Amino acid sequence: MKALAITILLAFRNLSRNRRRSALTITAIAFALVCLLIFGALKEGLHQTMISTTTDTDLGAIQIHGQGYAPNLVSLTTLPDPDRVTGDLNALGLTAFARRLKANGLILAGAKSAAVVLHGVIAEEEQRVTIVHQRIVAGSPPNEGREVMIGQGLAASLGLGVGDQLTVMSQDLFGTPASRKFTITGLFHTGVAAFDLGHIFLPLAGLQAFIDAEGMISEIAIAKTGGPLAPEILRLRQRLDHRYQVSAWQELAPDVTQLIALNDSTMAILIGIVFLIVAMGIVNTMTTITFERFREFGIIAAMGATPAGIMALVSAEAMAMGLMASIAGTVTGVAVCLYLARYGIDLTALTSTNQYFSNTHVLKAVLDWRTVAATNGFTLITALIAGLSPAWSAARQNPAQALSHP
Amino acid sequence: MSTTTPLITVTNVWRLFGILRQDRALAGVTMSVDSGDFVCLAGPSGSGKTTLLNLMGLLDLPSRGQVSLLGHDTRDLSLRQRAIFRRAHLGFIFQAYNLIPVLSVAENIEYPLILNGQKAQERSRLTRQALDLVGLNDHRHKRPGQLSGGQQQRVAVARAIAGSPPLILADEPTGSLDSETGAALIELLLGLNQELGTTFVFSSHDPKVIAQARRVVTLHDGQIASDIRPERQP
Repeated sequence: MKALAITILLAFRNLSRNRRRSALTITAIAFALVCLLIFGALKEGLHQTMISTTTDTDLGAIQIHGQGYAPNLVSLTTLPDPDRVTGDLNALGLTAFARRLKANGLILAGAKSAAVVLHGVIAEEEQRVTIVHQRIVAGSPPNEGREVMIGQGLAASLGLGVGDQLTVMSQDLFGTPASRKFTITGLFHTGVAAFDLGHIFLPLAGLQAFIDAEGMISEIAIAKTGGPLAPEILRLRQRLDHRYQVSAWQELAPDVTQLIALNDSTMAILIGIVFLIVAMGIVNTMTTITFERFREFGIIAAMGATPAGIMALVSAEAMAMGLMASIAGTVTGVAVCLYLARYGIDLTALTSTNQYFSNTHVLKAVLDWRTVAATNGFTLITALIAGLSPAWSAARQNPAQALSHP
Repeated sequence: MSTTTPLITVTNVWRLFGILRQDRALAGVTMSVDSGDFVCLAGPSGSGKTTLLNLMGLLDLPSRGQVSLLGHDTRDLSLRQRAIFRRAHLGFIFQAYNLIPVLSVAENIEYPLILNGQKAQERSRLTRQALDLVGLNDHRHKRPGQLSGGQQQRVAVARAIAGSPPLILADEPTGSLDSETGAALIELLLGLNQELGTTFVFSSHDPKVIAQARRVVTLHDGQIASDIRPERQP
């Protein structure tokens, strides 16, 4: 048995001296770890829900536009040579894409009107990128040039239904006003109220004819590939020339990106506070332990343990406590996270009108093993750091004074 | 006149306590201990016995004066160097046994050997040998709390002698034992002194224990009142 081995042995055995105190401290640290793992997994689940809602409702993971495109620009920016772009996408293996023509418009129904974005889409392509065509609650998607599909909420507010007609007004490519009657063939309900009220869908050819933009599209949306986006975007930017603008969803929806960053920062602050509390708990326990065993440290010093050896012993006890809490916390936390990953928490009452919860109102935990490893690492490092101060005071004491301690 | 270097030399040692150093535990003590001695520091409580033992054992630093061990001046040794010196050359026996309660009897004896870097096989042999000497080999796996006071003190003796240090310091080794067990312990220490040549310096205020010492240094108010070698009956 080497010095390190007996130090570790002593550390673990010393924890059993005051079982209740050790158990309480370990339980407190483990509970903090469980909370962090659950919060972290729910936060990750929330982010994934927000991202999938954002990308699956409209954006896709990547969009290609003509150079100069800006999300809020009213004028239509068309995509040059769309066939060449689709050819490049197929060559790169990015086959889940949807060509679109988007324009701003106004719909009129009797005395009521609403400002909307007109989506000219090819239904088969759109289904590979977004969920709108899977969320048809009445009728069917539009096939003919003068057919349109609108949101259920919009239809209700305008007092319209499947088979009714409405008038759509817009500008053609040259700024000339255009107006045409369309028949509603279907109603959709994504769950994102703002989207359902402000977006209507037409066949691509229908919108092209309506705004005098035959053969033109304004964007291509590409679905998530499963892998990281950055390399895909790099490949696309290398393949496409300066006439094109390739954007990730993060650039197109900066509000979501910022919200995720804000959540991460809040979580980091929470982690900091929790670990500070954990550290204070360990310092408190280790200080008590050190004070109670002053005499014993004197004996060990008399036997020939160096100050570094005594410091290692006290630190090992703090680490042993951290390790046991880490194991208990991880087992419990992972079990709870796995349960929440399977069954989730039903947040319908809180999220029914939330724009980030169109896909589901059940928040499911997403366990990231890197988070588990990092949280455990933090626990052990905190235990080590928290044990240093009591260890230092134990190591620096005069052995004779320690031996006279009651 | 002997030319061998004394094992311990204490020269004009003072130990003062208090913020103003107003309390004198030792006041100008000078003495030496030769190899193979069996010395008792006698005197009433507060006379400075424990303080002198602590200084001899490098557990404390003198306020003034010099302590030399095995010919080494210990004044400039760091905490670490003093610890290393202790583990290599000194053994300790305390009044309150001072065993580590979470270690077994054998592990308590092995602990200083581990610190001293002894190999596992050698440690095992030395531990068995030390336990044989104190007659506790059957209790090697027990925890100190499972032993009587006398047995615990014998374990403390085994721990002190296992590494065969040239000097063992014992502070009131019989103080917590009944007179019969105390006498048996002193017999044990005497036997080790005679068989192994180990030097013992121990403190006591028990006349029966003092009577068994070959040299008695009596302290009074932090100073040596007498230093005698009583005639021992064969």
